[in-house]
Amino acid sequence: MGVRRGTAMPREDQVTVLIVEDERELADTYARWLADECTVHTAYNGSDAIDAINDSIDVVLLDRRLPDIPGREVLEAIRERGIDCRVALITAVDPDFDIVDMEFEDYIVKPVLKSELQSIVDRLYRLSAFDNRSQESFALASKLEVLQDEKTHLELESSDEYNALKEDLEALQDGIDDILREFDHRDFTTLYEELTDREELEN
Amino acid sequence: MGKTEGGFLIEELAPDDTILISGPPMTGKYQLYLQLLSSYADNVILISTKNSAARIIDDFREVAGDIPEERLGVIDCVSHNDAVEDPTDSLTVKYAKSPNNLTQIGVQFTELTEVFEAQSGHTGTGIHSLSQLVMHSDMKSIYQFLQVLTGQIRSAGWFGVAVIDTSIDTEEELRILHHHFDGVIETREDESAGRQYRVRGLAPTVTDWKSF
Repeated sequence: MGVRRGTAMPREDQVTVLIVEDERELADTYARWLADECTVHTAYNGSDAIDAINDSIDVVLLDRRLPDIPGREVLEAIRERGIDCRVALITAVDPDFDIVDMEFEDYIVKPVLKSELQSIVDRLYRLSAFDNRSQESFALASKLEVLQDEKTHLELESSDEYNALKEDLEALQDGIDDILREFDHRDFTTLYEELTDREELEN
Repeated sequence: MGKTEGGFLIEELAPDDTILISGPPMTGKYQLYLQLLSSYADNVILISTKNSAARIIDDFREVAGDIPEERLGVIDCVSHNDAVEDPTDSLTVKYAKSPNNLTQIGVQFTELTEVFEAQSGHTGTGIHSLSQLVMHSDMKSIYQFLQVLTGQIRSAGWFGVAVIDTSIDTEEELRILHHHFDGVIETREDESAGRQYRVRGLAPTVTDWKSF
C-alpha cells in the first residue's frame, strides 16, 4: 500500500484525499490516478469542498480558481475550522506574492503530471504522519513522567500499565524513525517551520 | 564507521548513537562533550546556545587539534544578540537570532547537513546546551524540536551529543527529553574521586561511576 512504491514507510491507514477541481474531467483524472493508493473524495466547486471537509481528510488538492468560491476562501474555511489536514494548491501559473499569507503546504502548477500528483500526496502524507505520531509521542512521554514522579521504582516495574505505556512509546518512536528516514531536506525544513506555526497557534 | 582509534572512547558508545550528557553545573560536561565529538567524528556540526562561534571553534580545536574549517560547522545562537551589525552566514558558520528561535536553528542545521553530507568521513552533531533552550521555550516545543533534530541525525547515521544542566529542582522535569536519546551519560563531582561519569541506557544495566 502507499503512493510511494518500494519504500518501507508504515502505512497502517489509507490516505484520504479530497480533490477540489471545477473541471470535472480533470478532477476525475486526478481521482483515477490516486485511486489505487488513496481513498479519494471529489468536489467540483468550493461550497461542495467546504461541505466535504472533515477530520478524516489527510490531504486536500485545491484548485485556486473555482467558479463559486475562490480557492483562497476555501482554504481559509478549512483553517478556521481547525481541520488538521495538509493542502496543496493547484494553480495555472507559478504562485506570486499574493500567496504569501495563504496557509498551504505545497503547490503544483498545471498541467499536472500523474507522478507529480502522487509525489505531492506522498510528501504531504508523510509530513502529517510524522506530525500525528510526534504529538502522540509527547502525550505518552508526559504520562510516563507523571507515573515516574508518583510511583516508586518497584511499583513501576510491576505495573502493567506503565510497562505497556513504555512499549507503546518505544514502538511509536521506531515508527517515527522509519518515517523520518524517508525525509529529504525540504521536508525537515518544513517540520522546523511548523514548530513556529504551531507555537503561534497555541499561544 | 568514523574514527574510533585513539581519543576518548566509552565502551558502550557507538559512533551512530545519539546521547545526552546530563549533570549538575561544573561536573565536566562541556569537556566531555568536546572530547566525545572529536573522538567519534571526523566532521562536526556544533549548535551553540551559550558560546560564540569564535569561542566554540577555539575550544573545539583545543581538544581536536587543527581541524580544517570545512570540517567544523557551527550554528551560533548568541552572537546576534551582542552584535552591532548582524553577523553574516558563511558556508560552515551560520547564525540564529536567539536560542528561542527553534525554527531558525533547525533550518540552519538542515542547510549545514547538506554541506556536510558531501564531506568524507563520519559526522557528529553537538548541541550545547539544551538548558538555554529550556529557559526560552516550553517543554512541548523543545520535545518536538528534538524529535526532528535527533531523527535527522539518526537518519543520516551520524553521531549526536547534547548537553543539559540538571539540579534537584529540574531533574524530573527534564527527564522527558531523555526519550529522544539512545543513552544518557551522567556526570558528577565526587568529593574524593573528582569528576566521574556513568552510562545509562546503552547497556542492559547502568555502568559504574568512572573517573575522567
